[in-house]
Amino acid sequence: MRFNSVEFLIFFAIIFLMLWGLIRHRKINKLVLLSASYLFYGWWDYRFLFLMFTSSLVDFLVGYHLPKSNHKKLLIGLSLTVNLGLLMFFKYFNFFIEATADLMNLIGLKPHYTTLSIILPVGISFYTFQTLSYSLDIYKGKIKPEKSFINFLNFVSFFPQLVAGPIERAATFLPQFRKDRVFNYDNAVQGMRLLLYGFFKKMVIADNVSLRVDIIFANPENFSSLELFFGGILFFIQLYTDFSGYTDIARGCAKLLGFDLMRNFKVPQFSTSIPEMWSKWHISLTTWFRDYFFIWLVGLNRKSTLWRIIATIILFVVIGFWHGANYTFLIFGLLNGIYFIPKILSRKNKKLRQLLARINNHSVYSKLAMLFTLILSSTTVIFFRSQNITEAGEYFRRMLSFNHGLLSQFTLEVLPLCFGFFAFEWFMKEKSHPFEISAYHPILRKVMYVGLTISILLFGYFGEDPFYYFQF
Amino acid sequence: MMKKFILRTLLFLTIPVLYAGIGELYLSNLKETTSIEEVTDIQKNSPKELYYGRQILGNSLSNYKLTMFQKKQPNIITLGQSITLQFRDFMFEPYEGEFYNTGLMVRNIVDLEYVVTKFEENELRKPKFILLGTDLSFVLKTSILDKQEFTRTPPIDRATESRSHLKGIQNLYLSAKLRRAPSNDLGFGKSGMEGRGYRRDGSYRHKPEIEKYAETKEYHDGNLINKLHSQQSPFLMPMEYESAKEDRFLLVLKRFRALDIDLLLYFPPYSDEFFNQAKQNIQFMHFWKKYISFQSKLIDLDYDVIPFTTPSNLGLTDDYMVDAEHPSEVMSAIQLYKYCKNANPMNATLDQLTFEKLEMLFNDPNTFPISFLVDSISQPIKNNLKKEIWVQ
Repeated sequence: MRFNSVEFLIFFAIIFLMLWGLIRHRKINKLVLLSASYLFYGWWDYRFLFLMFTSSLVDFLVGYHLPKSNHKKLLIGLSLTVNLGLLMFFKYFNFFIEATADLMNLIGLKPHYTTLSIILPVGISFYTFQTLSYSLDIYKGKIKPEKSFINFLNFVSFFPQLVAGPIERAATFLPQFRKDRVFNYDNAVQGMRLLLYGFFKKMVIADNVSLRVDIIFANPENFSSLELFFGGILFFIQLYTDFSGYTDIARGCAKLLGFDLMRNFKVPQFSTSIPEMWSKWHISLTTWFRDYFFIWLVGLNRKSTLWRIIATIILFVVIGFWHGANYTFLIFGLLNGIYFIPKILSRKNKKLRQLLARINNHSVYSKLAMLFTLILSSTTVIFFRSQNITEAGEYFRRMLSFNHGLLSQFTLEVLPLCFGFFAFEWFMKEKSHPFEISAYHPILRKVMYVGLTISILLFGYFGEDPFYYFQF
Repeated sequence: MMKKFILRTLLFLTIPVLYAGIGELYLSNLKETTSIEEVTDIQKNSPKELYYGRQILGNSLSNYKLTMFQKKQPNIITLGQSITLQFRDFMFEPYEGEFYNTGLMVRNIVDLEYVVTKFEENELRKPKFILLGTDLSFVLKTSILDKQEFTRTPPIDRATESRSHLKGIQNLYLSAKLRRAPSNDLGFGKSGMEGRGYRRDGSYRHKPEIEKYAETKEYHDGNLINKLHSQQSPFLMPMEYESAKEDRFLLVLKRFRALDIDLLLYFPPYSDEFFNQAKQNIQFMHFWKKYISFQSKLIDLDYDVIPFTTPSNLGLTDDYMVDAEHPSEVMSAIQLYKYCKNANPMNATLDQLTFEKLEMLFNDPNTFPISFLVDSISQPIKNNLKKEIWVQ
């Protein structure tokens, strides 16, 4: 069931009324929420419900026994094996087989191999990380185990954020299932705003832009260098509006049900450097990797700048690989890791640190840095969008051949829409959310609600187009 | 607080509800929302002609044709692309009651293989006779039609899909098509109601083309020459002939024969204007030579084949084409008639065709190159026509 479907809106309205109608019956309420989450997930493929349940059960039992156990490493090893094992099998099995075959081919061997026809369960990369963080936090002594299995199942499967995050932490999210929820009007209104803004971003901007991006990336040979350059920028915009739109809808739904999900994007398009961009993009994933992987990795040799650079590159290669089993994601991660080098060097280089600070604080230089960062990100995501390295290479070759030609009519038409959207987010960038309009005059607010609604109905895309991050 | 929130939300929801409600009303008035299941039930049992032609929601064609095929269980069928759509029931006298034109149900070699398998497994009732449109897409290496399995996974009926309704409503508003339903009530969907669409026998009525021809008496190529020059589908370059597809096609024919199904292979014509220009295109001709060799091979293998032609080869003009690649019903009928009368067909079904009505229509003063004008809706055109005999 997709968020941008009539089925989901009906489903959500029913669940909303049921949950608040049954608010005094805590246990039934939790069971209804759990059933709704499992129904939501099973709508795609009911066979994978068992997988999610297994992952939840393992981590619940591991977490339950961890504090008093004498075999803590064994237990956490079990959690890691099960969760990462599932992920490895469903997401990376064929990739490793093919990569091994490629390697053997390189050294002159002719391997005979077969790959399996494996369906990637939707959201597996998200919920396995979420349950894993629970066990790891208990292992580190940061949180205590959850006693209620229902609460824990709800924590793992909470449907608004189940298939594409944000990847929540047990320390902040699990307690929300324990406490009594009270309907809060302002929260609900805020939720509605998030829903509206999320649908607008997804259906009006991301989906319409994607129609063009698909054409450009399918046949780059038909387009001028300039069009290919803007193709990268348009894909960046698509990716941002698609994923942040999804997150807004998820957060909006959660708020309407009385839950709070973390903010996953903080207008990353206005970053003055790649490190700053990553601190504002898919925050739940980057902080997950920081807390459970990078801190440990960099701690192996904390004083060495070279090791910090290597660790950062490894971190981003892993983040790239998290997105999918393809060399393109590895390159995407590698490049992003490399972009961190100036910032890492500036830790021990006062002049470089001052230079970076001057750029960030200067009114003109900082805007140029933003533009440069946007262009750099947009060209790097060409790897992210391409099906394979050859395709990405061909795209770059044609883009950098500087063949003449202007922008197509479609691109010229869609760019003002993107520019207008960026301008709106620029003025809202300091707010807790880009569509935080509580302080506006009530009439203006209503005009904005009606305007967005009519835009979605008239210009939204109603074809078959899932959220981009569902594939991860 | 909850009550206030729900009331305000409901108030806000009146905008999309009103938007969708008005749109749905228009879609319903245009009979775009009648499901394929219902359309086929009514069409099958209707004593008068009814056309199926949605203009806003989309026709989900393979689905429609497959559903009707399953309901009618015909003995005489045409299979293939749009080039077969002008073969009509009365051309197959005395089997007109057992005829169905499945044109556009099968669009590529995978579809064809799927259908023959279903005949073999008795999951689809096998017919006695198939007229199989053997157009170039069955042997072209690059055909965009190969990207979908039209019969194995037919498209969902758009009338039953909420997204399609929303898309359709959006289309209504944006193109300012919120208007009254046509005064005619000849079928389902906006086009169908106007008399443009798929008849009960599965053939297609080209209403605007017929009317335009009646008015101007000019042939229109339908943009095919431009497609060739700009290398658009089906002329995507390099235009390569795929022998593997030919082998698969031949295998399917063998399987049809093994099922005792009489076959007539139809190589569709092109207009003279188009073909003369296409002959100048080296890549097209390189492909074409192999395609025509394939035709000869089929004749050598003792299949009944209506070979490729252009109107001038039959002593006709391009007026007998709906456009550059689609023969009119009159042209289709002439080709079938001439083949049966002159070529000593091998299969029994063709031998038994009487053509009584067709011969009458050939000599009917109302017949003109693009149409026999036998649909009841053709009366206004007939009244405006200068009486002259077109078909010799």
